Formats: sequence, C-alpha cells, structure tokens
Amino acid sequence: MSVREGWRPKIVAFCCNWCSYAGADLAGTSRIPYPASVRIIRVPCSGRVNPVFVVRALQRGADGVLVAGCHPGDCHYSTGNLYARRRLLVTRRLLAYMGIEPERLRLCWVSASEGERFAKVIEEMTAVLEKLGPVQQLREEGPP
Amino acid sequence: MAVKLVRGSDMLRWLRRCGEGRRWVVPAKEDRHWLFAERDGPVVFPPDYRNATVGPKGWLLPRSEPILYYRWTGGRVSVTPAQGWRPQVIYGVRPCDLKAIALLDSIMASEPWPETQYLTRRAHTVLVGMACTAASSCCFCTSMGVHPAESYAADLMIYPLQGEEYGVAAFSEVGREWLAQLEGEEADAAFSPAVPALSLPMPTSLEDLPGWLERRFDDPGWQRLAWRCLSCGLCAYLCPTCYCYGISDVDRGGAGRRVRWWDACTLPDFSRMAGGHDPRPTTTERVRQRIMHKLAYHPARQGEILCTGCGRCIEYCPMGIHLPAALRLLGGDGR
Amino acid sequence: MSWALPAVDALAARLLEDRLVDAVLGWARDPDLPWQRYPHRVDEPSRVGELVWDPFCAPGLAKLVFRMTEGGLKLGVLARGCDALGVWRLIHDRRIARENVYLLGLPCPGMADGVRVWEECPEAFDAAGWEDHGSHWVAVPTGIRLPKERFLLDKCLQCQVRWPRQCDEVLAVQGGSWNPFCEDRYRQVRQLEELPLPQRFDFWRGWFERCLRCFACRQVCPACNCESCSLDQFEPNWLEREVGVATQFIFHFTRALHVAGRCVDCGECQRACPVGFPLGALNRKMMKDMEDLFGVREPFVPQESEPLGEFALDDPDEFR
Repeated sequence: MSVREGWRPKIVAFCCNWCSYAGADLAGTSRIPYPASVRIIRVPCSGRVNPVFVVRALQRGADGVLVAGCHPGDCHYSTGNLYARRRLLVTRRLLAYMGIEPERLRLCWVSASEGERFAKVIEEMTAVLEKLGPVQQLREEGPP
Repeated sequence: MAVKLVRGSDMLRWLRRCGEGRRWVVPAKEDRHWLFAERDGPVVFPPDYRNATVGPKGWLLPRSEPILYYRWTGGRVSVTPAQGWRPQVIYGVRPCDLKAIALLDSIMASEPWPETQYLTRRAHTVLVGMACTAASSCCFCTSMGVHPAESYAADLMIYPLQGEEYGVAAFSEVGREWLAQLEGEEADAAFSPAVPALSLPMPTSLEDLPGWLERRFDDPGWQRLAWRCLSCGLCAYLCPTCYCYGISDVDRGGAGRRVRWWDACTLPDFSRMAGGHDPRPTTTERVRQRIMHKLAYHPARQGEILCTGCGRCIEYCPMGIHLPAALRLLGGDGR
Repeated sequence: MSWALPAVDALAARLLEDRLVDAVLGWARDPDLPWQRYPHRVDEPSRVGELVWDPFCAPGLAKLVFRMTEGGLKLGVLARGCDALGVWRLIHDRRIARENVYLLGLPCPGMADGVRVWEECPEAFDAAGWEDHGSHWVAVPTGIRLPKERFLLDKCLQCQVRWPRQCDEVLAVQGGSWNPFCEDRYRQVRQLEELPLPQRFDFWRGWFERCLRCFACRQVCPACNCESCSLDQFEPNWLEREVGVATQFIFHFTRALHVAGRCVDCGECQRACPVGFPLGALNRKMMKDMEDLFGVREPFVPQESEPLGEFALDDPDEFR
C-alpha cells in the first residue's frame, strides 16, 4: 500500500493541564520551531488517559499518540502520572501484541518550564513516524 | 422423488461451471467451528458435518453494511447509495436455514418499505441446499413444522444418497437452468431424511401456540427462565430468522456514511429511550419478548412461526436458556 | 469419600434451614439436554435435590451473583475455584457486599465438554454420581471412565485453583487432586509474542473477521461489571456499532485493557464465544505482563488492590 502523496505524520498529544500543556505553550511563546505534526488535547492529568483514547486516535487518523505528563513526584494530583505510567506501559505492550507498532505510543514527562523539551519530543516522534508510515491496520473503508 | 443422480466429484465440477464468475459461499471449518465463508467453490462435506455455527444470514443481511455515503462540497450535500453486492452462490444450506431465508424474504419484501439492499443481494444469490442425513445435537425442525429435506428458498436441492452418490433437484427457474446442464436423466430415488435431535415439549399445536403464549404473558415462568440471562446478543446473532438492525451515521467531518448493523433485543439498551425510560428493563421482559416475537407475535400477524428449529440458541447459550426450557416453565411443572 | 451429591445437598439444606442464606446458587440438570447443566437457584431446603454436581457443570456462577444479591439477599454459592475467584472479583470491585455471599467451596475435578461426551459416549450420562480418579472421571455405579485428556474443557487445562480459595467452607468431597494438563498458561501468548508484527496482526485480523461482536464474552465476565460499559456509549461514541477490522480491534483491545490485572482466568469468555475467538490469548497476555512488569505472582487472584490500581516509584519505563 503506497503512502499518499504529501503525507505527513499526525500526532495526537494528550497534555496534562498543569505541566506539559504549559510546557507546550512555552515552546510556542518562546518561538521554538517544531514540526507542525501535533494536535494537542488538554487533559487534567496524564492519568486521565484511557487506553481507548489511544486506539481511537489511531483509528481516526493519528499516526502516533503522545501522552505528556508531569515528572514523577511533581503531579498536581500527586500520583496520577504514576498510574499513567503503568497503564500506558501495558497499553503499549498490547498494541505490539496485537500487531501495531509500539513506537506509535509514547509517554514522556514535560514540566511547565520545558518548552525546549516538548519541541524535541515532537521532533523525535515525528521522525520515528515518518519512518513507520501511516497506520495501515486500522484504516477505514472509504466510499467507493 | 424425481432427481438427477450424480457422483460427488462430477457434481462439484458441474456446480463450479454453473457458478462461474460468482462468489462461492460455503461451510468451512475454522479451528473447531464451521462457518459460512468465501471459498473457491463447493466441497463435499465430511460425514460428521451437521450445520454451521453461524448461518448464511450474514451473506444476505451483513453484520454491518453502509447504506449510503454523503459528502458536503461547496455548500451542497451529495448522497451516494452503497452498492455492496456481488453475484454469489451460497452452497450447502440446510432446510432449517433455507426456511429461515424464505421467512426473511417475505419480511424484507413487505410493503410499504421493502428492504432493497437485502432484496438486491438476494436476487443475485443462488441457493444450493443440502438435505439432512443426520441431526445436529440440538436441532428440532419438525417441532416447528420444518422438514429436514424440504427445499424452501433453495434454487437447487442436493440429497446425499449411498456412497458417493447424490440426487439433485431444481426448484426455481435458475435451478432448472443449472440442472439442465447436468448430464443424466431424472430418476426416482429414495431419500431418508434425518430425524431431528430434539422433539420439543409442545403444549399445544403450532396454530394455537400464539394464543397459549399470550395468555401466559404474566406467568412467573418467564422470570424463572430469564433470571440467568446475561443479556448478550448471541442467540439473536446466531438465529437465522432474527433480523433486527440499528442504523447510525459515522461522521467524518464533512463526509460520512450511514450504516446498518445487527441489533439484538436481548442487549440491555435495546429499548432504552431518551429520558431513561425502558419498557424492557430486565432480562425477564427481554427474553419474553424475543421468544414471543418468534412464536406468538409474528405468527399472529404474518401467519408463520419465526423459528425453524436450527437449534443454535440451544447449543450456544452459555447459560442454558432455550425454547424447550421456556415451554416447560410456562407449562407449569414448576422447574 | 465419593463425590456423591448428598454431601452438597445436605450442606445446602443446612444453610437454608439455619437461615444462614436466603437462597443457594448451583447447577441443575437440563431436562431436555442430557449433557447440559445450567445455573439454578434453590430457595427452600426441600428443593436442594434439584441441584447437581458432576463433571458437566460448566457455566460460571460468579456473574449471576452480581444481580442476585441486590436488595440485601444473602446467597449461598456452590463455588469451584473459578467461581470463588469471580465472586471475589466482584467483592473487590465493590459490586457486591462480602456479607451477602456465603461461598461453599467445591474441590473441582475439572469439567467436561458435555456435547462431545454425548456424541462419543452417551451411556456415561446414566450415572448416579461421579468420582475423580485424577486422570479420569469415573461414573458411579457403571464404572465408565472418561479420560480428562480427551474431554476436559479448555478453561480447565491449566487450572491452579482446583482447591477453591477464599471460601467460607470447603466441602469434604472428592475432587481437585489432579495435575493440570498444561503447566504453562502463557503458552499461546509466548507463541504469538514470537511472531513478527505483521503476522501478529494477520492472526488477530483473521479472528476479527469471525467475531460477531455479540458481547457474550463481556456479559459473562465477572470483571466486566460496570453499570454502563464505555464501549456502549453513544456520546462520545468510542466504539462505532459498525463492524469492521478497526472497530473489532478497538473492542478487543479496550476490553483486554479494562480487564487487565483483574481477570481471574475463569475462561468463561472463551467458553461462551460461539466462534472460538482466542480470548485467553488476550487476557493471559495481560496477566503475563502483570507478572513480568510488576512482579505480581498470581495475577488471576483478586486482591484488595489490583496491579493497575497501584504504582511503584521504580516501575519500568519502556518508552525510552
């Protein structure tokens, strides 16, 4: 299956309100360039992310899903990110087990002051997805 | 009965020729279960083959299918009807499933809203039936007035005879066209159909069954049967006569499709309405509804029992809820 | 001590007479299908004779307990190991109250595939009782021997709870003294893990095409006990009702993850599935990950707090 002309990876990033969303915002206000591949969804905490969001994003056109949360120890709700780490670890393993490239899911910690870091993560992930190509497994049947 | 006699390998060759260019849907074994699947052509069944777990219903009324596609362009909507049919042959269909197709045909053709997608697909389908020589573990066709060697909706009917021999008869114009291409003369052949596995404890004649059931609408027997129902859709989906479906739109922002999908009256939210009201809030109402639709409401309105005795609901319900149990509990032996 | 029913009947009767429970849940013979037993409830001591205990009592009882104890009903449950674990799943999920169930543990000889026995050896059903002889079930008084290797249900092959755990009482009846036929519950998981990724997807895609999405697996599962399943929601519509590879993937992927760390490996999902979907291969993958990643020793035994309801500061990080 050939890649569509002009395809660029799309990342859906779940960013927690207190740390990573602010960090992403800082990347913007600091005018740090990064690939325009990411669509950010703000959540109260990385622990809010239900695995169904991940697979739903992949079905609906995302080529990769990023979950960005506070560093362990810094969670606004004290432990939400620690639950997220366990949950997303298992999620990633199941993705691989069911035949979807595990690199399409990434969990990272970005604090409110880490604009540079956010930009770097997006750049890294975009490069990874460019190599993997678009998600083929969950493609929908289009109109004839 | 008057049939053309043919040896197995010749029969397969002849069928393949007639069905050239069509999709072949035949019973095929996947792991431990027989299912109707797309294959190269017809096959001779192993002696232990009875019936497929999932019948051929999905090849006439798919599990889910788009009805139409829509798209917004420049402020206008364009709508394209879906077209998902191919000429096909469904081979090896047992009389219980053939009768079920005949029932679905008349339901889907009913005015004022005939179900055109089903009817189109059906019009491009050749049905090759296979009479039963042995019963599956739970079938009860004769209790429902269905005979294990009748042709019902079939275009052609195959009767397995001794050894490698089969008798073939035609029951429609297409069937006769195909049969004309089979060498040989018609001869008289004796065929011993299977005896169904179960004989249901029928409390009354089939004709009187709707009234008998309606008088027992409030019988505590329903609750004694239905308490162990776990509200899955297994019975409805395996049932060859169940046809309930839902419709929803899959919107993709500016374009999308309207999709039909199998629904099941046993599922918990089947009759839940906006506002929260639900006329069938517990398994008692839902199990009663399903059984009464089959044996009372449909026969009363359309004159035909909506069960053909295939036995799948009996064989596969994980909690052992089935028609014989229902009839016993309502007959009042207190179990 | 033989497997005879009287021990079960006597205990059930005593519980009802002493008003320790309001009803007893067990199995009854199906009057129409000689090989089948279905879940049955008895409310009076005089009716305990309706209960049966033999190698054909296949259905799991735990999920039924869920609805039955509403209104404060106290229920006695004849519980094999798998049933007991399922009930504890519901207790730990706060879906039923501990004080509303009285678990009557039954050491289990393993359950047979009733349909197969009926097809191959129907005279076996003329038994008054059954004995567990380790590798065989033996009918009493006919002496007919059924080899477990041939007839054991899939869900029983690797059972580690032949002696039921966490019960109020365990009946002194024969059973439970056989060795599992499969020591490695993760055998199929390992086989799949070794396949290259595209072949893994092909494997699952083949099964997605068979799956009818009848929800039998979800409905029979004691771990799937949400009042309202997220995958049934229309707003937002996480899972479209349309059936195709993508939505099938979403259903099975999500259910496996929502049950991860909570599955009791009762095997009811796979028994209920009409098309033979390898649900065990999904749920056991989750169990294996609980062991490998978080050091959970027996992930199928319900705990006060489940692996995904906990965390460790040094949890592994595979995202680097």
